[in-house]
Amino acid sequence: MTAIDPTLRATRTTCPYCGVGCGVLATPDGKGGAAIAGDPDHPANFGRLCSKGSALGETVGLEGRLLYPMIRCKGVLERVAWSDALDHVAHRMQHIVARDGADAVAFYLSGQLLTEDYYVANKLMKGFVGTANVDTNSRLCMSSSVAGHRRAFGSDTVPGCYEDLDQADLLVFVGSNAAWCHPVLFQRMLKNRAERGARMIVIDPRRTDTAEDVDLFLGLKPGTDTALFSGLFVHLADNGALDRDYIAQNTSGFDDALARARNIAGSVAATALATGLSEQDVAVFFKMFRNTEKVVTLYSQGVNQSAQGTDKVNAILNCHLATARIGKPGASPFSLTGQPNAMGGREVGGLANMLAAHMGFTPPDIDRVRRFWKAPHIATHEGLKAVQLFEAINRGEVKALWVMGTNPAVSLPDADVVREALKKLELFVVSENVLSNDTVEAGPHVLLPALAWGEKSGTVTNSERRISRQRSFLPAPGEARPDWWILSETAKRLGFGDSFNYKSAAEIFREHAALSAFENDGGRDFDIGALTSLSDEGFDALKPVQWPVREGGVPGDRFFAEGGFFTNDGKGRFVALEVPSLRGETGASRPLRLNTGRIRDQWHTMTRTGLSQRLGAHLPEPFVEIHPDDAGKYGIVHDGYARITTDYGQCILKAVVSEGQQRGALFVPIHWSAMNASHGRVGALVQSFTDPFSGQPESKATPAAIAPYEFVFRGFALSRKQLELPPNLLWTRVTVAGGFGYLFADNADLSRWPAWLESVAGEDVADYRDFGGGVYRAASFAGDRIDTCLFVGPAHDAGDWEVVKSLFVADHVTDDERRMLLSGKSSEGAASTGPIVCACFGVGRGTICDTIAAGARTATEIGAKLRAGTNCGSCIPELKRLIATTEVPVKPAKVAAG
Amino acid sequence: MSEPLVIVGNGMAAARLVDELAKTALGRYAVAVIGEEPRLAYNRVLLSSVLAGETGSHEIELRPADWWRHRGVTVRYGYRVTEIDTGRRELKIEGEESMEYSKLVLATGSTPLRLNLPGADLAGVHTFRDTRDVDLLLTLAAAKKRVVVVGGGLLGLEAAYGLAKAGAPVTLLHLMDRLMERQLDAPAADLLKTLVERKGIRILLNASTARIHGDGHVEAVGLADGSRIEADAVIFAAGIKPNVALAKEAGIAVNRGVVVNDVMQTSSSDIFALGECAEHRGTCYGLVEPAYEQARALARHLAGRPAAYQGSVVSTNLKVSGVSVFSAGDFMGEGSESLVLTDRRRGTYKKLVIADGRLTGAVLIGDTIDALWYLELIRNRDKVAAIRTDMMFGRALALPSKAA
Repeated sequence: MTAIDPTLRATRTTCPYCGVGCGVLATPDGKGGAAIAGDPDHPANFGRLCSKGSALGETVGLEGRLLYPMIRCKGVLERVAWSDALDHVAHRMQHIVARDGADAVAFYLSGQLLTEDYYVANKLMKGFVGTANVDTNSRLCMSSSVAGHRRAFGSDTVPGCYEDLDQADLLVFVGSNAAWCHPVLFQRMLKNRAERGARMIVIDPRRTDTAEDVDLFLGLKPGTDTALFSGLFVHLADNGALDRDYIAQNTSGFDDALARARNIAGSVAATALATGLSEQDVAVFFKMFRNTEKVVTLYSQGVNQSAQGTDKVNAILNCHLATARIGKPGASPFSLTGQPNAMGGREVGGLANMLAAHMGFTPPDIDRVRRFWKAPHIATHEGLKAVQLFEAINRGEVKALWVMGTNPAVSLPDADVVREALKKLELFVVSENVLSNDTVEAGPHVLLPALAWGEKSGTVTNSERRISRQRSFLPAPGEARPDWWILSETAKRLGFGDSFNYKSAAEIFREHAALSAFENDGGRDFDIGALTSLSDEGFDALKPVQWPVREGGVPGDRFFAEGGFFTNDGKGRFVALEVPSLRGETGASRPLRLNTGRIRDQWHTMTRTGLSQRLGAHLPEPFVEIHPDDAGKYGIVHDGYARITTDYGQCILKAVVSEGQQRGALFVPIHWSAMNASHGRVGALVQSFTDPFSGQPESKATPAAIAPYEFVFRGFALSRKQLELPPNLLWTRVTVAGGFGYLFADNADLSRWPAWLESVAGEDVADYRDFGGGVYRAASFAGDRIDTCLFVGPAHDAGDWEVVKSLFVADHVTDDERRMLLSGKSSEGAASTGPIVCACFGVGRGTICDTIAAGARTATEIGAKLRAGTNCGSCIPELKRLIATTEVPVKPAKVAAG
Repeated sequence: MSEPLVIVGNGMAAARLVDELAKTALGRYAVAVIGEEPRLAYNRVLLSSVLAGETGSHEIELRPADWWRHRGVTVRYGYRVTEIDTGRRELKIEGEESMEYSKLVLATGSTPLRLNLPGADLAGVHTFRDTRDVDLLLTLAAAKKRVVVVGGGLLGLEAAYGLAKAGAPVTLLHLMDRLMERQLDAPAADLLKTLVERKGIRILLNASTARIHGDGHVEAVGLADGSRIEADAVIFAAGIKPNVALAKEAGIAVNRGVVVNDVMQTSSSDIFALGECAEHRGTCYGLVEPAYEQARALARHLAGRPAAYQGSVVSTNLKVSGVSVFSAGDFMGEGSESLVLTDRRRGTYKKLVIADGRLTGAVLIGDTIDALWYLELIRNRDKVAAIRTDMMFGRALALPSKAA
C-alpha cells in the first residue's frame, strides 16, 4: 500500500468507469498518484469498489499524457499556444460552415465527459453553430434504451432506483454480465439473494459469470429476446397476470401490441421454438415472472447493441407495463448503463436526436430552447447519429469533426473504414488525455489537452438518475484544461462570447438546472430546478442527489407507478414489435455469429485500465471464445490462435474453448486496439447495421468465420520502456509491475531475435540459446535490475512469465535469481502463483488452487485465508469453478485399531 | 604366502590401485610401492592450490603412513628404479638391492615437456610437476620475480594463477588462438581469458615462443614475431610426455605411452601399466579420473575377477579458485545441437552438446555446480528429451524429485 501523508485529506469523487456511479475517496500521495477507497456514504456503493475502481490509483500517472495543444504542420504535430490552437479551430470551423453549411460540422462526444462539458458542447452546436450533428459514444451503448424509453414513456426515464435491487424477489438479467460489468451492483443483488432469498434468472446467449450460480439460465439464440418477452407478454395475458386497471387507466396500445406478440410467440411452445430454449425452461421462466410481483428486469448491451435493440427494450417494458410492475419498490425495468455519464449526456441532450434537457425537435421544444439560450442558429432537425455520421464523413459530406474523450477509430463498427474516413476530414480536432490512441493516430489536425479524471470537476449521473460530483484531487498537468473551458473559448472566437462567458462548472450546472426547469411545470421528467439556486459552495459540497429535484417539489425516487407518463396524453405506450431477425446473413463462408463485449478488468479501449498492472493480469491477451463442438468442427485448439474473418475485417486472437459459449456463436472482447495489440482491433470485424429507432449498431451478431492460425514460436518480453518489436509479429502489450509486458507469437526464423535484442539491450546481457529446441531467452540488466527480458520458445512450451515478472519488478535481482532467471522458473522451485484471479488483492490461480488443495472448500474460506474475492467479489464465480475443478488429496480414513 | 606385487611410482594412480586392491584382493598380494618423489603420495591436482597459498603442502597427502601400513604395503619413496629385468622378474633400484616381483605395475606418470628452444637450458627455466617445483616457484613469487608461463592449457593456467596469487607478475604465452583449445570452444576460452585476466595475469595468444634470452640466467623471452618479454623466470607448461623409458628398455611395447590392453596388461604378461604413462587404445590420458578408472579395472583383474577398461569419457576440471572450468566429451559439438547459456557479468558460460537425443559434451565456465551431473548424463548416454528445457539450469530444477 502507498503510504499516505495523513495531513492530506481524502476527496470525495465518483468513479469514471461504468454507470453504477460509485463514490470514491481519493487521497493524493503527493507523488502524482492517489490512494483509492470506496466512499462508505455514497448510496450507489456504500464503500464497495470493483477491481477496476480499486485500481484507479494506478491510472492517474502522467506517462503518455497529452499536456500541450498541438497543431499538425507539414504532417507533424507541433506544440502551440492555446490561443493559436483555438484560433485555428474557430477559424477553420467558421470557414467550413460558411462554405458548406453548419451540417458539414460535427461533434463526437463521450459518456465520460462531465455534464457541464456536455452541456456547453451541445449548446454551442445546436444553439449557435446551428447543427444537431452532436452525437456520442453513448450511441453505441444505451441509445436503444433511450429510444425504447421514449417510445413507451414519452421520455427517457429510468423508472426505478438501486433500492429496488435490494427489495426485489426476482432479478431477471437480460443481455447483462453484471458480475463483470457492474460488479458492485451485482454484489448488492447477491446480498439480497443471500439475505432475502431473491431469485435470479440470466437470459444470455453466453453462460457468463453472472449466470454461474443462478436459479435459471436461459441460453437463448442470439437476437431472440423480443420473442422471449413477447411470449412472456402473451403468457401473462393468458394467465390472468395482467393489471387490467393500470392498463386501462395509464396505457394505450395494449391490444395491438398483444396481437403482435401473439404472432411472434403465442405460446410456450412457440417461444421455445423461436428462442431455441426448452419448453420446460421457458415455462419455468414465465411462471416465475408471473408469480413474482417484485421483479426487476435488468438489461444492458445484449439488449441495446442490436439492430432491433429498441424493440427488445419495448418487449421488456411491455411486460412491466402489463403487470404495472414499474416504478414500485422492488418492481421495475432497469437499464444498466455502461459509462459514468451516459445519463448526464442524455440529460443535456448530447445526442443527435435530442435537443436539450430531455426535449426533442418538436416545434414547441425548439422554440423554448431557442428562447432560453437566446440562440441565433437553433438546430431544427435531428443530426447524424454516430454510425451515419462517420459514413457521412467517409462520403465527404461532413468535413469537420471534433472528437472529445472517446476513441471512435477503435470502438465504432467497421472500425478500419472509420479510421480511414477520419483521414478525409478537412478539420479534425481531438480533445484527449493521451498522446496516442488509434484515433489520435488517425491524423487529427489539432490535439487539445483535456483534464482527466482526478483533475476535472463537475457532475455525472449514474444509472439510477443520481447526480454525483466528480471532484478534482490532482492539479491540472501541463496546459490541460476543462473541456467546458476549451469549448467556451472556441465559442468566443466564433463570436458567441456573450452566451459562453462561463467562469466555472458550477455556473454551467446552474444554467443546465435552469433549462431543465424552464417552462417545465411537470411536463418533462428531467427537472432539477431546485438546484438552480445552488451557490458555488453548494455545488462544491453537493451530495449525491437523485432527480427529479423540482423547485418546491417532493423528491420522488421512482416514476410511473401511478401512471403520469410524459406522452401527450400522459399514457404509457405498449409497442407493437417486429418479428426478431438478426441483420447480416450467415452462410457457408460466414457460418458463425460474432458477439462482442467487455471483460472483467478492462474498460473501453484500455486508455485508462490498460495503465494498471493489476488489471492487466487477469486476461492479458485479446481472445475469442468458442464452444467445444465448434472448436472441433473448425480445428480450433484451446490456447492456440485463431483467425476471425468477417466481411469487414480480420483479427488473430487467442482461442478459448468454453462450454459457456453457445454453438454457432463466437465471443470477442472489445478492448484492444492498435496501440496494444497487433491483430486485436475487434471493432474492424463488426458490421454497421443499425437499429431504425436508436441508430445503435448490431455489434453482437456479425456473420463470421474462424480458422486455426498456427504459430511456430511464442514468447514474451518485459521492459522498462515501450518496445518496438520486430515486424510481422502477433503481439499484445500489457502493463506489468515495473514496466511493459508483451506477449507474442511468431513464424519468422528464431535467429532474428538475438539481433533484435542487441538493438534494444545495453552492455550487460545474459542469454540462453537452444535453437535446435526452438528456444531463445535473454535479459539485459541495468545495475542489479532487469532492464529488458525476452523469452521465445516453441508454441507448445514457450514458458510462463509469472516468475520472470516477479523478478522483473525487483530493484535488486540476487546472484542466485540471476543464475536461474533464464530458466523461467523460480530458484526455490516454487510454482508460480499463476495468472491473477483476484485483481483487487493480486491473488494468483496457483496460490488459490494450493489453498483449495489445503482444504478451503468455499469462496468464503478462500477469502478468509487469502483475501481473494473479499473486495469487489467479481472473482467469486471463478473461485467456485476452481474449487469445483481442483483435486483435493483424499485423506485416508482412520482405521480403528483392532 | 602372498604373491609379491610391486608398483613403480607413488603418485595418485598407485595410491588408488592400492586402495582398490585392498578392497578386492585383500591378502592375495604382498604389495610394495617404490617411487622417486621423496614423500608419500599426494594429490597432484592440488599443487596449484598449494602454489596459490590456498592449501598447505602437508594437507595434500592422499593417505597417512598408517593407512599404508594397515594395508601391509611397503612404501619406499625417494628411490629410483633403473631397470626391469623381465626374465628374472626383478627391479634394479639405484643404490639399493634389487627387488623381486611376481606382478609389476608401472605407474610412472609423465614429465613436463621442455621445448627445444635456444636458451631452454638457462638457469631460471622451470617446469611445474611436483612439490619440489612448487617450492621453487613459491620462492620466485615471494621475490616478485617476473615470470613467463609458456602454455595456456590446464597446467599453464594453474601455474600462472598460483604464481600470480603468490605475488609474481605473470605473463602467460599461448601458441594457439584460444586458451585450453583441447577442452574449450572459442566463447568459453574467450570468457576464461577475461576471467583469468581479471586475476591480474597478462595473456598473449598466438604467441610462439622462439627463444629465451639470457646470459647464464633467463632475462627475457623472445617471440617469433620478434617481440621480447622481460622475465626473471620461465615455466614450461606446454604439455607432458609419458615416462616410458623403463618399459622401453625392458623391451615392453611402447608407443607414446606404455601400450596396454583392456585389463591394463602390457606386452609382457605380468607387467601392467596405468595412469599417465599408459596408452590405452591409442590414448594417453593426462588426467586423474581415467587413472582411477584404470586402477579399478586393474585391481579387479589382479583379483581374478572379470574386468575391462573401455576407455574414459574425459572431463576436465580447472580448479583454480574463482574460475571454475569444466569440459567433457564432445565439447565442440560440430554437427550436433548446442544449448548455450552466456552471462558474462556473472562470468558464466555453459554449453551442452546434444546428439541423437543424448548429451555428448559439455563446457562450463564459472558455474560448474552441475558438472558431475552432466558428466553422468554423458557417460550413461540416457535420452535427455524430457529434461532438455531445464537441464541447463541444473539438476535441482530438471529433476526436482531426485534432488537432495
